[in-house]
Amino acid sequence: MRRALLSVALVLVGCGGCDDPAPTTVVSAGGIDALEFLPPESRMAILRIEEAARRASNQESWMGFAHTCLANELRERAESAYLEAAGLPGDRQFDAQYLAGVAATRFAPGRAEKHIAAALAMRGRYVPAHLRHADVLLALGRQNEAKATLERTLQMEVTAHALLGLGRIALDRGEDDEARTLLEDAWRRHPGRPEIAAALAQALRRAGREDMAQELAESIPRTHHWTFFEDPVHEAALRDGEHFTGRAIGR
Amino acid sequence: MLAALVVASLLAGCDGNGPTPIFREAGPEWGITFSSGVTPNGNYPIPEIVGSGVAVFDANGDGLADIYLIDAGSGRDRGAPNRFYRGRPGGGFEDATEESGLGDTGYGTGVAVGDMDNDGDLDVYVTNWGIDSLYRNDGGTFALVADSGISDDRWSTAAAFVDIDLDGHLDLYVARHADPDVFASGEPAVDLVDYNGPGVYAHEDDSLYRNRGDGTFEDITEPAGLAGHPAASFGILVEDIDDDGWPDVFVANDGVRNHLWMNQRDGTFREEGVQRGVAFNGSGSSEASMGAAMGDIDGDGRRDLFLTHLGGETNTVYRGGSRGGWTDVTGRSGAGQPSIARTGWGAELFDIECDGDVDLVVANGSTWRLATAYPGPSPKPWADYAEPNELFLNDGTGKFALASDRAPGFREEAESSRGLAAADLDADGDLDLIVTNIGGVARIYENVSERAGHWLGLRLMDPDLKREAYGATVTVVAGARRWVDVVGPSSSFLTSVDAPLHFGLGEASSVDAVEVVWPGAIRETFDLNGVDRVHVLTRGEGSR
Repeated sequence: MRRALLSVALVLVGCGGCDDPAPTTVVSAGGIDALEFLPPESRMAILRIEEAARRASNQESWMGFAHTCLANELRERAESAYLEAAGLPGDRQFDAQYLAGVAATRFAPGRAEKHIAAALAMRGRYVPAHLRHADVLLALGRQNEAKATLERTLQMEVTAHALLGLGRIALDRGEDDEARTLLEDAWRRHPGRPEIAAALAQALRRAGREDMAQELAESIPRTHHWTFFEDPVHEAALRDGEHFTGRAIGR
Repeated sequence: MLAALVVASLLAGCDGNGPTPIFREAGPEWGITFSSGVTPNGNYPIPEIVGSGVAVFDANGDGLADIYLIDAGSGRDRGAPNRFYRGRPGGGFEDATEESGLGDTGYGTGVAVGDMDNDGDLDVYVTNWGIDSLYRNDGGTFALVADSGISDDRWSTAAAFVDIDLDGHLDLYVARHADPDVFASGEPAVDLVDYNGPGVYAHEDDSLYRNRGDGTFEDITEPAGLAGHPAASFGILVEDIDDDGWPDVFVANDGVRNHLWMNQRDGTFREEGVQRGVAFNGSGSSEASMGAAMGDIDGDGRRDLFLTHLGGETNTVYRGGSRGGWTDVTGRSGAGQPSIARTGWGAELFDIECDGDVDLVVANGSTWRLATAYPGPSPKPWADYAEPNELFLNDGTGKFALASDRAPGFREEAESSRGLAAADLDADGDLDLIVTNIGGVARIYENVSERAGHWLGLRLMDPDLKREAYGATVTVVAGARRWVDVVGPSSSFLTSVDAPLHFGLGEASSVDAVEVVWPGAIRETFDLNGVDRVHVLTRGEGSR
């Protein structure tokens, strides 16, 4: 019953104007909450922490539970918990609202965009939040807004992440010279990042520098998973979240 | 107000009694009795959860589609026989496995069809966990080729016939995943509690076999430049990516970067997936790619790429660019987010209602036990892995919207679906579906959508080779609209379809021209008289 009530509450606080369904805290048919992928003992431990947060019902305990969910890739559950925390008194409203967006980015970009925009209204100078916002806008196909956001962040701080994002947008628009300039700048600032190498290899191929593109492409690991370049709030959340055994089966 | 409601209902495809169905599951009168013979051996070998595919082709030249269903079994070299269903003149199918000779008893995974000996009928290659099987077709009956020159017994997944050197003989690309019996650490793969992902196994190189022209093949993997690129490979697509008249090969890889093998026109290939934008998704991550399909999603005349992926990842849509490169546009495609909760396998892009744009169907099924089972007919243990399939309709701009509620059986009866093929199984001008399911029956879904426009079927024949010109690129022109497709049977997941190209034309009731780029970059233009039927275009009979 508590879960049902929470779900209703989240529908109400959910995502006006975006296509994403409201989050739930239950593992539902069709949901992507990864609790089901954890070994039983880890699953029980997480449910115990959730129950403790529910009993304490303060911002700090919900943040702790949310961090644990985030650290264990329980993103839908983490989003819900961060939103609980954001709705309670305390001094971590920004972190909670922002991390709700971080948690939702991969599976519900519409909701993530709302959460991050709300966080930015609280603390507009946090550059990683702008960069995440741009990423989510791109995922939603709102390229012009993403481009404007990235350009604004460059006024605040020049980052390889922003240059990469603008380079990708330029690639998509066929602005090949611009793309190459941006991506080479990103590569100089953060050499070795496979994401930049992959985008730069595309730009080089289009510029007719096929051998350089090939060399760069071959330097990239066969398996690579994107991680955000630098985000102290997110990194602290991952550090603070209690880690449990991973999925019983490997990838 | 009432009028507004009626309009809204029509737009939503509703007739007041729920959504108007687009697909309807075919009944027993269609004659497909196949049920997967996979038997879990208790040790979770990866071929079990990968499942098996299907081929649709005209085996005996009678103009009717036939269906060949691949079956697995209980372990390496312990397969259940594949089944062959011949199209009946009055509609439906009949089991002709015994007389066809196609009851291969290897532990089957995938299938490729193609006329390897240029005698005018389609031969069959079956990939197995164990030695693959090559069957030569002689007028509708098949004989196992004992001395094909292919004796590799590593597990193979998808396969495709492709004339890589333009010598007129179809060569063979065979995708390989991993050794299911051995972990990457070298330890035997035993004592598992569920199916493992590809990361724990040692990946294999794919294989390329050159057709010597005498019915035998030689392994040219190493001289062609494919060796030393082990990957957990599944779906294969063959297209001329750079418009040079030579076929290139895209391979969807499970958990590692995808491969795009660009034909160097000298018998070798160069891997260019990264620099052409399809090795990783848009954020630079490798994904667990399973099935693959190409089609012009946004109607810009360029081929776009759709890949299915593991749950927790989106399926990914790549928009084709002007110079043989792609950009990840999943976020604005509408097909990404609904896929995160599912593991996709087979997929096809085709125009379901003939309204002029390509739609999307995806076969789903988990690779790990789900905590909450979806309702469906699968027996244990497969019920624990069952997921609903999905159907998306294109709004005409390249954006997809879920319409799975208009294909009731396809979605609601969750199973562990894998192979998916789209073909006109009832010769009525629209494309139907056949889906394979691990531990379950193969299901046909008849296209019952309201026809929203005209259609055109095309076969492209090369008279010198007595076979269809695999690799030919076709552009249909009607007014300002252009539709592009490529001749070739390899698509989706473990699946092969040799059937006429199918174009939904929307309101266009005639076509101005059909432009063909034959293999070797020979261009011809054809005038067509009439739509809503299949035309045969013969190389040399168009205008240059």
